[in-house]
Amino acid sequence: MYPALLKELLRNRSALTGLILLALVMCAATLGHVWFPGDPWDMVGTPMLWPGEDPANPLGTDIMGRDMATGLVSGAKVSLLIGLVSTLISAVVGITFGALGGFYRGWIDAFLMRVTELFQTVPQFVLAVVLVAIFKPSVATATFAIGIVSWPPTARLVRSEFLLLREREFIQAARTLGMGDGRLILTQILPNALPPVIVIAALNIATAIQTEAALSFLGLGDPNVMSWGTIIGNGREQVVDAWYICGLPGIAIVIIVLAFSLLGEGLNDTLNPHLKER
Amino acid sequence: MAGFGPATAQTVGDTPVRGGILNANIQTEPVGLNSAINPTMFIGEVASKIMEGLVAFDADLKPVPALATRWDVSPDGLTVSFDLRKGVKWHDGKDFTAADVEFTLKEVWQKLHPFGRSAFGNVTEVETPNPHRIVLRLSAPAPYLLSYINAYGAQLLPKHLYEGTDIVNNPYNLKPVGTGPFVFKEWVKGSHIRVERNPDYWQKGQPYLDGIVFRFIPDAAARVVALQSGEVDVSVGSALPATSLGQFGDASKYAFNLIEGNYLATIAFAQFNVRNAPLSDKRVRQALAHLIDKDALLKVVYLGYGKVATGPVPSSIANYYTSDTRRYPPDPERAAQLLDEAGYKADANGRRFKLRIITAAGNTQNARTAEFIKQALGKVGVDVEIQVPDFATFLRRVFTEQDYDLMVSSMHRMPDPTLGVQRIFWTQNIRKGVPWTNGSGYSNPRLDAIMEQAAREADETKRKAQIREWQQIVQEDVPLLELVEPQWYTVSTVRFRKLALQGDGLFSNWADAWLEPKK
Repeated sequence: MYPALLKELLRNRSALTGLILLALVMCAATLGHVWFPGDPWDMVGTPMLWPGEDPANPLGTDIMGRDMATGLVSGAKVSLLIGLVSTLISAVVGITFGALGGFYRGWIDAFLMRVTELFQTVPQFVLAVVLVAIFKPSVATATFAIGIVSWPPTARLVRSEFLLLREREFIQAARTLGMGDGRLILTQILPNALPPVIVIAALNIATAIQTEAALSFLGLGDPNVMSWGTIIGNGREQVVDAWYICGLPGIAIVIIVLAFSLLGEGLNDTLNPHLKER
Repeated sequence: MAGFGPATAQTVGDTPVRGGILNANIQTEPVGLNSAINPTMFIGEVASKIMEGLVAFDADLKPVPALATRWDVSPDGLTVSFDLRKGVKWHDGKDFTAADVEFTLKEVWQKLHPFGRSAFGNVTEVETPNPHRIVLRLSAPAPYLLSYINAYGAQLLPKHLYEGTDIVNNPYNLKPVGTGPFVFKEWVKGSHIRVERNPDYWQKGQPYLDGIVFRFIPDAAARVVALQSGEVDVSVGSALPATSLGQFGDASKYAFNLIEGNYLATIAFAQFNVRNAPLSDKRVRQALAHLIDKDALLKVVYLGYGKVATGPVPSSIANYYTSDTRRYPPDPERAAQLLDEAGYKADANGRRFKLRIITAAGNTQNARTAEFIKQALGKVGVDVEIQVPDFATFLRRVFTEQDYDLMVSSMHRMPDPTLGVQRIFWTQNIRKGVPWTNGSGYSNPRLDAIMEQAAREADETKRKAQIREWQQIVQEDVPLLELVEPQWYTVSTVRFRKLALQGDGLFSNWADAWLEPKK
């Protein structure tokens, strides 16, 4: 099934574009330090060098003379890490809530959905800001906070899938065969409910990366880690004199968010049988 | 700094023009307008136009008459007397008299003002022989007293509106009644404060302006645009980010005033928590001092707007400043050697120990200073973790829990070291839970004795010698790394002029300010 899926994905234009962009960013994150070694915080050049002005700093330097290219490479790693891990957290929480609620219905469902609504009524970003501010700002707390605020849509989606699937004949059959709840959920229903979850997860990663950048921009990022948001936050005062300090990481964020959005759209096209003919 | 010199002169003129509303901008909206109980500078920057003090300070920080016309200190330093200006009225029409001064001193400055408690601490008796004379009797000489009686250090309040009330919550703290050149008109929270010309001001012919509107613009970039677009005529007290000053280089359009903050005498510093190893070891602190290249810091973080600090007393306090202190030129080898001597040798990976630097969120320059220090210490194997909590947590961590290794901040040292500087080093000022006291935990009995002597020394020459020695001891022990004396700057359009510059100009009353006609 998977090679076939991959083949179909590669035939899908938006998925292919997304994958290529993603591969580029991954490349920068994993191999970038080969071209731009060193500590991104090191003040290596004259402050506010424009890109191209000095070959030693091809993408210029920021207000404190730190190399932009090294910073961008470091930021790629941080952004990907935070995007993936926080999405994993939100997927695990969301799937658990949705699966239990959809499968058992009744008061369990009612309780879990009230909790979900509680999280949905608080504006996501505000909650993330509060969480990070309460704990001290670090990569771990930012990842945790972003994961914690972004699971409700997943939970609702999984719940609706479970509500549909649990009445299907193959589930009734498995139940008649004496299969326990745990096995039913994990081996029968969940695999069939996953495709839309994968789509929403891809989009979630994009949102998570944006949220992290926004947190860092507000000064709530990890002060010891150079992320794209940190660079933008540091550069906003000089946006008139040196727009590239905000501009370059901004472009990087656009690329990675675009990559995950296109990939999500492609996955949706491939995984959703109703859209097959589109 | 290049364009600064000639531009300064333009803020002064000699042919005042009458009329017009001045639009001014300060960094942050104040919480109230009573400087007599709260020394936050944003309060003083607005309140000083409405309320006055006994004196003001000229460009050399010498007192010039305001509500006091003459003052005398007896040779033994135990009696200080003031002759008060006659014919001065509060904005509500009541006469200003010695009773107002006595009331504010006894009930407000001595009891409620954070510096006032020490500045007027020696005052035991107050006599008012007639409505225009006040005599203070002191238990010991207080040579610093005359440095704190301007509109910022000792604002005068009307007795008839404050006597018998809860002063801290008095409604007039938000709609002040003063004697100053401008009368309070309205305060729209989040937007502006408007004041109007006082037609009965004691200085005949002044003020020249019809009124002032203080606009509050929270975003730094928007403040820049406001001055550029002419929406604001003057931006007071470094309200514009240093990174944008390049946009105001055209001397035919904009003027810089660089001496208005001299009175505050601010120094940005990194403070060690000397209670715990390894920072309890003087050699470690000296080693770290040898790692910070202050010239580079000034250039990179402050973009050159300031001066490298050489000790706890800033160079602008020319009376007491000495450059004859121990210096720590950047020297990583010497630093490594000192650390080795102290027993903190590098391990197999070249690492020695780990420190936490704490600074409050929201101040770009302090955050960048922390980043700068982190890079510098890393070079000899000292790992640094930067922590940037919110302001309240920051104060608690440093002054209550004492849970930090290095703290980056800045403090106003004020014109007299006894009040502004002693508090940072004095053993008796290690006060758990009280912000801006001796937070490093540094204690040196010899220094304590010298500081206490200087506080009651009436002989100016002896006092200078004591304060010189004090600076030398502190620089030898380095409980604080004194980093940079930041340059306070006020940027205005060239239309904004004043008759004279003041060393405490951030708190000048602007009676002598005017707007040149539009060309």
